[in-house]
Amino acid sequence: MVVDDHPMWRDAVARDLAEAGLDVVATAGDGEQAVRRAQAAVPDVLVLDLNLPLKPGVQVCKEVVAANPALRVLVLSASGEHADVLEAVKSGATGYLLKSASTEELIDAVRRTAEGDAVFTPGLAGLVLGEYRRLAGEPAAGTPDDPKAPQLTDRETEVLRLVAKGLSYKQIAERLVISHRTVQNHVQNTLGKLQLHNRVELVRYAIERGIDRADDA
Amino acid sequence: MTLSEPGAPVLLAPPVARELAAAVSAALDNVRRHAGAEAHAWILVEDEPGEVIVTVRDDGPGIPEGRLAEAEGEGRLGVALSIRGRLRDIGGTAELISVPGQGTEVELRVPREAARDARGKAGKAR
Repeated sequence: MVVDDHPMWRDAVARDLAEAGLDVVATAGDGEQAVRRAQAAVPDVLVLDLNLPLKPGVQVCKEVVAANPALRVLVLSASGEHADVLEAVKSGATGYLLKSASTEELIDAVRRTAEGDAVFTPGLAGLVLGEYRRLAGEPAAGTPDDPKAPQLTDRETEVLRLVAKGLSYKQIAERLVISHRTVQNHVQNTLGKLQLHNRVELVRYAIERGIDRADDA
Repeated sequence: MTLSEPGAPVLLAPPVARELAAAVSAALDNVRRHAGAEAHAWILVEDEPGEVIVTVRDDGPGIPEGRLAEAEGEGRLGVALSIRGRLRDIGGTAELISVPGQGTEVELRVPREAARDARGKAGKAR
């Protein structure tokens, strides 16, 4: 399913995907339409622009993943939307591609996203590294049930840095003398930990709000 | 050219930022000169607690093993030396890494401590 508010772009992406043999089950031109149609059409992959009318792409990502955790979201956006890209990734998107990508890159990214692989650009790797750094720098709340900020292992940091420096998974595998699959697993784990942390934080926030309300009553 | 950064401003004292930016420019000039017009360059900016790291990588042919030391011996490493000099002036280091088939990386590291010292000096100068 393809979500973008520019009809020409949306149709071109849908056509490219269809020509590559993929089944485009729906398209949508705004955020609300996207949420409704994703629920009705149940796509495997949602190709999502972040800059949407009626409902921001980040919110669309949150709602469709909450409704169907098996749905994979590939964010396709213009550069310079860093905060939004990071937020989308934390709320469940597993891939990010710039709109300047070629048709071949897009088709490859959609296929990989469908298979459950994390699709990173160097830019996303830099953002994820920065996010872990920020989480580590936040003052610890220090309560026993407080979730610790997620941390990268040395190997994960090493792999992410190489992705951010523009090396392909194949080149990274060669340099670190590990398998392609292992590189992929490391990259995926860096996203998985961020998403898990995000879910835990949301649940905690909800519980705190719930308790507050009970106190008020 | 692709820029990867942490998604938040990386703050450095003005004189340190100026030298670092000049070193990055020199590294990019180097890419243009040695990796060819078709080469792609990536810049990664990392904001660590103790230091700021900027890496400039290209996908050119790289530098064959031993070639670097040879060139250094012949005094033909003008650009690399100027990059190293700039970093030394702000208390940092510059490292050249070349892996066959994976281009060349210039890794610039500026310790946070040095950045603070330079800021102090700049303050006094005013």
